[in-house]
Amino acid sequence: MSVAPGPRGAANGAARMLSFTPDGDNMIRTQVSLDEHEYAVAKTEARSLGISVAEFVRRAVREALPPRGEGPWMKFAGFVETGNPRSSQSIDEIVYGQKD
Amino acid sequence: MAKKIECYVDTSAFIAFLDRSDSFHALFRRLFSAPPPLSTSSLVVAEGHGWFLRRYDRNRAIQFLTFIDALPGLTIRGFDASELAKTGRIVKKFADQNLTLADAHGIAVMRELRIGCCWSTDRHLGLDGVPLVI
Repeated sequence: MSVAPGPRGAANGAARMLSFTPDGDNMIRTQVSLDEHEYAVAKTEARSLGISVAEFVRRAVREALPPRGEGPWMKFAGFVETGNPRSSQSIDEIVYGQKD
Repeated sequence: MAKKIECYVDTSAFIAFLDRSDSFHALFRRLFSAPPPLSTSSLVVAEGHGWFLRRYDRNRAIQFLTFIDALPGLTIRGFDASELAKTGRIVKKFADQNLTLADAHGIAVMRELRIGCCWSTDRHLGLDGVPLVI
């Protein structure tokens, strides 16, 4: 995967897939356009993690997708972390402000 | 012909699935990974949305609605005047309990559809004798 800064005038905040080509190593090569700010931030984050921008983008895509073999609704499993092991048993306190 | 609804889902089951901190998270993660035909109440959806609004923010609340949309085989029972009448009778029957309308509507739906299984961590949902999955 190659990632390059998008041309000036590209849609703000939007990443656009321009093309993809199957390759022999079980990877799809694709080109993604990012606006300058997104690219700069992604590059900084990737550097801080010690990975390439391409790997950073791959991880972001994996995080946004459901786990392999599971339905799309499963990507929401555990999408919040309240820190409360009794979270599901104290809903009324949150919604109605009562304790039962 | 539609498949028979096997289980009723309460707000607490949705929260246990969505909140990785919950002690029942692993159980509901497994159950929701291959869900049978399920039923819930529109009041449960409102309650879940309200929980995310109060606990987090509007974006998380919208994500909750997106999850509900994505969940296959979920039948959502509406709540109109006739449902209120049935639900009110449940609330009065269990007047010694702090039943919410969402809880009581769940009991009414399970009774009417003869559902014998309830996905919930809230003991109120078991007041009418339907076993909770926990």
